[in-house]
Amino acid sequence: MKLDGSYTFSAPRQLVWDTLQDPESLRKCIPGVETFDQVAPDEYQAKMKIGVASIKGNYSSKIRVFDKQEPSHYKLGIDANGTPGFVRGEGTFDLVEDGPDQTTVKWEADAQVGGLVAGVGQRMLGGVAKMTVGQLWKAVDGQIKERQAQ
Amino acid sequence: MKPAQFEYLAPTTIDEAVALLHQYADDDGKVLAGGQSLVPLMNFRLAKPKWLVDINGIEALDYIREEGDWLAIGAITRERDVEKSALIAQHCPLLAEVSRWIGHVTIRNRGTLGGCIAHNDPTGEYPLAAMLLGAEVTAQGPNGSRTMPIQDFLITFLTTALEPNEVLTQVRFPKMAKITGWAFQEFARRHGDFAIVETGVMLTLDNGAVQDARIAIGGAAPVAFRATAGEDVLKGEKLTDELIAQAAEKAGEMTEPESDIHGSAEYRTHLAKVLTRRALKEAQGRAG
Repeated sequence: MKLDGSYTFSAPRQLVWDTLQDPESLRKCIPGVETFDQVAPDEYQAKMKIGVASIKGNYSSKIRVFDKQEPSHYKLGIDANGTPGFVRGEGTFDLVEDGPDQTTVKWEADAQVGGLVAGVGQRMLGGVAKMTVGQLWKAVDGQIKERQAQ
Repeated sequence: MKPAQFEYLAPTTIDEAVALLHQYADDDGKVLAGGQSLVPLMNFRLAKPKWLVDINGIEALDYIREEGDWLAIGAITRERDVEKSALIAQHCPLLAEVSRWIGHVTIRNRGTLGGCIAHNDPTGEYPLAAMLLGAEVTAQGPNGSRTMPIQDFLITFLTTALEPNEVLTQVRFPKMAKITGWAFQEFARRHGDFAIVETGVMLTLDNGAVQDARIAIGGAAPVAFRATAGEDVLKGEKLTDELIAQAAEKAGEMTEPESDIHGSAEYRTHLAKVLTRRALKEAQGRAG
């Protein structure tokens, strides 16, 4: 499954970068996150409950940040396993400076989804993914505003 | 295919159902209405509610009645009853027409109007009809009952404003004026499948000029929506084929579809434009 999109923040690029690289911010932003632990530099382990309405699954996942080019580019690898199936994929994030106080994050991801959720949940995958990503960016936006207010 | 283990509760009054939901809301409690979406999801084990509150035994939720300029429909009214109702045929023919597009007769015999709207599938026929007609939804919770316009109720993909401890009790639809032209167009590979895209329109004409126009599109965004950009093209103008084509184009531009195994995003946008154009043409013929 290929996904892409962009989100524009009213904040300088460095602040967006710092927020996206901060484990504490990420823990607060990832939808349905139950535990989020750093296991090595740029490596995290997380337990998440992802889904929509009554269709939710528990996943335990490994997340890896790599190919970092501060403050404009990084990649994210995810390997998640759960009761309804697995998700393995990679995302590329580019932070584009639109102005001194405006930054657009352009992202694209390619994920392999397998197991039950891919077989019988096919119709719902796109919708759930889009909703989850939307929640994530909104939460990041909230974190950035919080930092700006400080 | 069997569901995961769950506890089954069968209240006979709304108050009792709300009390049970309130008790189990934080522990994966879920309302069972017609079960035509929930039960397959449970059998596939995509949904694993621990507590199932079956509202089929609440007779007070099964009715279709006139309330002034509105038709009020109880949440567990079967889709087949909506399709066959003389009251609905007389005052809200669009609602009867969209019912015929929901699955098959056996599904409509069990599926409920309230269940379909509370599930809020982006291709659902009733969410689309409710958006088009300007319906109002009533939900009852531990602190009493509240009524909200449909656009506040349908939030996004499979998500509504219904709290985990609330039961959707009624949906009411404004009666349609006799002079209103209307049409519903849906495309699916086979009749009874989930729609790929669907469109509903309503037109009020005055000497060939458009007094009021409504366009709603489903299956081409996370939730059914009013294509206001298309409506604006029509309002106040003389209704010609060219104007209809322009409105359909603008309406289609408002879609935010996803690509999946049933069709690409581009295909869905294209379908939305084609179906809107056909629906407007059909509605023009029916407008008095």
